[in-house]
Amino acid sequence: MLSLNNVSKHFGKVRAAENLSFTLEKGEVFGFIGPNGAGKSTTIRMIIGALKPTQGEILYDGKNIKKNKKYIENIAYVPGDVNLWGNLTGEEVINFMMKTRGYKNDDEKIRLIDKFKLDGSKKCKTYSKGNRQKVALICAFLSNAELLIFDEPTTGLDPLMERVFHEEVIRAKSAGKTILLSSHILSEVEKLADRIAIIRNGEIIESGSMKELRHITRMEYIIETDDDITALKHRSFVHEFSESPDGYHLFIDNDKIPEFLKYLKLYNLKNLTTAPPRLEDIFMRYYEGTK
Amino acid sequence: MTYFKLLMKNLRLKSALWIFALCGLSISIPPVFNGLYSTAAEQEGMKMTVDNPAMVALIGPVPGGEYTSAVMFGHQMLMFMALFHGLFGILIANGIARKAEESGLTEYVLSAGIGKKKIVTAQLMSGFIINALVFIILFGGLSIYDIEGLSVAGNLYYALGLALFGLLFFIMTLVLGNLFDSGDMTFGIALSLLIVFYLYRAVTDVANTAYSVISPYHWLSRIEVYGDNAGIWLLPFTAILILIIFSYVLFLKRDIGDSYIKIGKKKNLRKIYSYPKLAFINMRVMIISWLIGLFAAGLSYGSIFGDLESLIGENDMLRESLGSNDAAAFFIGMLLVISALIAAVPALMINGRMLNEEKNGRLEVIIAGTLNKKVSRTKVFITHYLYGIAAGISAFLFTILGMYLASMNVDDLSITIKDYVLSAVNYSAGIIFITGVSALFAGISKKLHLTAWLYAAYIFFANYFGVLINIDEVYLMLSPFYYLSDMPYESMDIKAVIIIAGLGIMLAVIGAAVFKRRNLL
Ligand SMILES: Nc1ncnc2c1ncn2[C@@H]1O[C@H](COP(=O)(O)OP(=O)(O)O)[C@@H](O)[C@H]1O
Ligand SMILES: [Mg+2]
Repeated sequence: MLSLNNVSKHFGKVRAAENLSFTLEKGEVFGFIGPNGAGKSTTIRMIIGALKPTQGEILYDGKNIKKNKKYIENIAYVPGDVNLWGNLTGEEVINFMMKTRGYKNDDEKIRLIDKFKLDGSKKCKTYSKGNRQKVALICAFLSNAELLIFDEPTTGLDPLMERVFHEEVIRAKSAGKTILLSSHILSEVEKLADRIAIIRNGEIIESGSMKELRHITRMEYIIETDDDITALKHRSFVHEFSESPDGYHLFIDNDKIPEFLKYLKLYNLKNLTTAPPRLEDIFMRYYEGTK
Repeated sequence: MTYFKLLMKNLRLKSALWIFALCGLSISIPPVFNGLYSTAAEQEGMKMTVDNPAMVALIGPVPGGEYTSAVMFGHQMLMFMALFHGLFGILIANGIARKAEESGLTEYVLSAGIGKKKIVTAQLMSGFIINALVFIILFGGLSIYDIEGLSVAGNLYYALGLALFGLLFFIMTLVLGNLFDSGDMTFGIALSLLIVFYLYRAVTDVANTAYSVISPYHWLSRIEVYGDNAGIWLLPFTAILILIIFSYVLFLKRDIGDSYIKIGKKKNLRKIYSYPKLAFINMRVMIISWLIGLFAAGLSYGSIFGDLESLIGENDMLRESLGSNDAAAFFIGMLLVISALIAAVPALMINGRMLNEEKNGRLEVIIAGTLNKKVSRTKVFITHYLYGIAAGISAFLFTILGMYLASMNVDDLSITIKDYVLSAVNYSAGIIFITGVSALFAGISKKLHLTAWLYAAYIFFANYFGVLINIDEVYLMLSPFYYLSDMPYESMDIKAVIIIAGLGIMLAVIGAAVFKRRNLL
């Protein structure tokens, strides 16, 4: 439904986005991951028409967005840091958005306000970052837009609200909506996304389904044992082997885990924990690969 | 008294700026008035000018005795200055009391082990200190002058009167903060009281001053500073003592965050269903303040029209540049140009508001997902442009209305209502042009819009000095007013009006076209 073809955006000398190409299929959750300053917001703001690409074209339902201005009516967008009008109450903002979107569903509004635990009667100037975020998220989930775009939406939310957000994303997906979710936290996107694209320094370095990308991720294992397992260090799929008070730390190539587990059977383990792959680890691996 | 110190530290800069501006305004006036009317006949003439219902309503009843320049200073300044000192007191008091409570600061202070009584004491002390400073600076500043009639007693009452007036409204706001449950509400009520007392005495001063005694403004009038110096009229300010008791009792007897009067606990939702309405709600305070401010400015301009001949007669430079023309009409024409320029300021500010919407990222959020016909860049642009034009022209009309009302009683003025109306049309074209320049630049970028301000400032100085020192005409050619005829002193040039206004609208159209396509910030 949305595709970017060789899109670039340059701010003077800064190449915020360079030759980006990816496609969002209808009904999927697409994760857009990259560290701060990678170009996520720039890309998203080109999609919503706030910025004009220096090069390339963006197609919505097959039509160039330059020629089809109305496409924007089908997109709801929540930025990373939401500013609202200080002397309107949260509920007034929500009502305004519903009205200008030509949409009415009061039951759903009440459900979302309740679920996000928002006090909609307060003026927006008294809201914390998280509360402003909630107002914008409620507006987006309420809307009948077919594509929802969230730019690092959980930065101001507490863990409980983060969960609510995840639940609502899943709910929106099952209602047939397409979702573009940007984040710098891999584990968050991993849980929700059908496919992801990883961006760094304005360029997409990997994209595909999480399964396809397994080859570039590594699992971290923390092993407590009285046995000496240093022999493992020399296996080709073991990386960054280290010893610390809580046990041995090692990173294992995802595609070699069964083999690794076979080796582990040789030892008496007291405890075995794993940590999910982190974005930095992926980059590390990626750079090793290109060297 | 650590809480008191904390309060003062927070208030330091804000109150210093206020005190500096307020006292500076008072202290800078006496030298201007000094010697303006030196003979007894001239003074009598001035006294006649202010002795009409419009002027009495504006600045209070005319004091008895000689109308020396010192008496004139006291009489013409006190009402306005009281208004400002009262506003100052209200803002500061509301900030440290109800607003602090609303934001949870007061509760935090309480939890830090500072008692409720101490909190009130510290708030009151800040009011005392601030207004004591006002008194010291005013009294000291006025005492520096060696001007006839500027007596020690007069200075004392002038300074003390304003300081007490400020303190009165400071403490009144503290009391009101106990009654109402929000900072906005407290401010609104306190400000209304400040204005209602003023308007009330405007009416009763004209009708019968006996009724005026309820208004604190009138207490200042009755002192007749620099004349009678009737210090007894400071006595009513002892009402402050009662308010102090109230501020303690009301605060001690209630819970933090609670209030004695609860208005609409469940605030009814406003129906804000269109972008123009949303934009208006966000800007209405600014727009209305400008209208009121410029109306007042118009009144004060108009109040000197009766004196124009003598004012201009004093000034050789002006006299010379006027030649044999009708001095009053010429001077009024110049004032109209300056007023039109000032009236364009809210228009520029409104275009600036649009750029703020852009910079805060609100624009892109509300454009995404909303129906194009409800919110789009073009709609946002046009909304601000039209509000700008409407605010600018209304502000100008209010200035002219003020001028007209205040000069109604001046007999030998050759300017008729028709002249005012036609001049309004004439100079409004200039406002449309300047707003167009601003809209064009705003359409291109936020940075460029700063240039629109420079442009307005440039026109201001070019026109100002154009009259005073006859600068070369080349410098005036950038100003739309150069092409419009100098009404009411020349007759209207309709073609110029249409061309200038048309050009302004064209610039705005180009601005809109650029704005639609460009990158947002
Ligand atoms: N308006 C702008 N002007 C100049 N540089 C910009 C602008 N917006 C973003 N950038 C630069 O583009 C790069 C990408 O930024 P951004 O898209 O905000 O990254 P992300 O959202 O992934 O953190 C950064 O180096 C940033 O400084
Ligand atoms: Mg970003």
